Amino acid sequence: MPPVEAWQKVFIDREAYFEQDVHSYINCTTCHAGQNVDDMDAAHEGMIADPAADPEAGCGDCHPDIAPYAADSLHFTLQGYDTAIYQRSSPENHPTLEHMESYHCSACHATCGDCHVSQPNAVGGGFLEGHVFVQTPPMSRTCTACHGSRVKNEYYGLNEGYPGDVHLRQGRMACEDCHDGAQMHGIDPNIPLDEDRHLNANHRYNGDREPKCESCHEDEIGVGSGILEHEIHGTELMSCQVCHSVSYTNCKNCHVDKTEDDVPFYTVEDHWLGFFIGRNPLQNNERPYRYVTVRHVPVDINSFDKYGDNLLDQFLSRPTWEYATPHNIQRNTPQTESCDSCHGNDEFFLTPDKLAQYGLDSELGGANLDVVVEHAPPLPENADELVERIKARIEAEGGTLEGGGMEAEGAQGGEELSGDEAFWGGGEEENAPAENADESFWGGGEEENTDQSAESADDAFWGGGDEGGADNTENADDAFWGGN
Amino acid sequence: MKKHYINVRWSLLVAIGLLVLAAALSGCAADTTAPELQPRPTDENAPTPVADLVEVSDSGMEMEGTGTPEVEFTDFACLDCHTDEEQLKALAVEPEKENLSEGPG
Repeated sequence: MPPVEAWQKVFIDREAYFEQDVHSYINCTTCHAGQNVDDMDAAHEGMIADPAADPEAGCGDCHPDIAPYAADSLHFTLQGYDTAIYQRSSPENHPTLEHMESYHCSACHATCGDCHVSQPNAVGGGFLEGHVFVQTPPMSRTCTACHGSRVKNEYYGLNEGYPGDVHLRQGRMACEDCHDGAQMHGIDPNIPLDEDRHLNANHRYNGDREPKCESCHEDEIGVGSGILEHEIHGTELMSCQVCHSVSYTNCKNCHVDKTEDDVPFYTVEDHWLGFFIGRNPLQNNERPYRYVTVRHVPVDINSFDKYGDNLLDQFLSRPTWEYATPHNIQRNTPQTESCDSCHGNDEFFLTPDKLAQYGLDSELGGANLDVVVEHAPPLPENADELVERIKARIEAEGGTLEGGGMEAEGAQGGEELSGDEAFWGGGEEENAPAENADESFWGGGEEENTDQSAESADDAFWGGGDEGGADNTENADDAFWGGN
Repeated sequence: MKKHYINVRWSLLVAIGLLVLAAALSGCAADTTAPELQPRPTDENAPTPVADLVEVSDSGMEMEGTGTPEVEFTDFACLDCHTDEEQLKALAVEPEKENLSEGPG
């Protein structure tokens, strides 16, 4: 993200703002307080830099369908941090931890303006487009500016040796193509408009599983998909990422501190790229999988010792290997090479020796025991028979087994592509999706979405600021005035 | 004599007919009289006309058919400064960048 100079951060693009933005009908002092006078000090006296710091007061009058929910969303409250940290602690330590969070976590929370007017304060702030309100925030300057070290690196392919996510490489999809506005603003879209629509999630992996792969890949999942591997594994045995993601960032030993001048900082002692299949610590109806990808989070039992002793006195009440949804989805991965890639092969599984390997053997206990896998599941003795039976059923149902997966890959000449070129996607994918075997897998229902997103996402993602603004003006009135 | 009497009678009939016709036609003429205008009855519950509003909280009301709210922008002192690139450059103070953190955030 290019640096923004101090003057640029507060420079209003007069022409663009007054031509494009209905907010320009509102006086500066109405939202920002201060005074409309020539003297700078007097003008700024009592000024509110970010009126959306209180979303309901700042935005709620005109956006009553969004602001109250945004004020309670995880983006604003950061309650996910509380959930994770408090679960590792005791109630008597919560006030001290809350004090710690005021230094080290609060700066990350996002107000309405942090995405729709400016770059998030946590990454330096500064107007996105000269104070023009941007309906769809640009991905690289807002979403991945904060969600950088994991999501951004995975999705963009910035982890050395690992390609970016296929949804970006082929679909040119931006964050909002999956994470829709309702989710971003803490709204449950299934609740009618005239009722309380709070999502009421206290962590991103609590509550509904959004987004869902099957929203686009409905026909390619589970029994009836015609994809042999999907037919075999069904929809509840493991999450999609178990087969379709690659190595991602894991961290450990993060410690927070602050200078004598109260400037907070942190130190992450170690991080590495790794891929780990563990048992699902959040198994429920919404996430029924037995196996999921898990990631070691930065927390350490002494992470917050600068603020008090033994604050994480229930450290292993919550796994340090957490449910993860890596953003580096690939059709072909080392796991999909053959049945033996996973069955009977501990390499990809979070086995106890992995904890020792990464110096985390002291964490082999508590909630981590629900995640660690003793050994990779062996291939069932009747695997061949099972496969033949499923094949026969698919063919009897008129399927062709060419929808995707390893079997289809072979049928379509996948043998020639089974090496590194096929796995790493090569360079051809970006420009020739129609000719690529991936289309059969990613195709169908996704195409519509991809086509639509290609138009909208490119502007947002690739930072076509002016174009994005122009696009927005078409329906800006509806959105601004709270239509629907 | 009789002939003269007939002419007089015809003349009278024509004159009467013309009077009747004039009276009838006068009913079709525009009514130039009008009642005195009375003040329009007021409804205290009716919304205040948008043109009278200056408060932003009510600016969500649109002028019919225009698609834009009619609220006048008046904060030109703020605007003039924040659209003056040279002035902002002269006044801006670059914050001291102190990033002591290490590792992925």
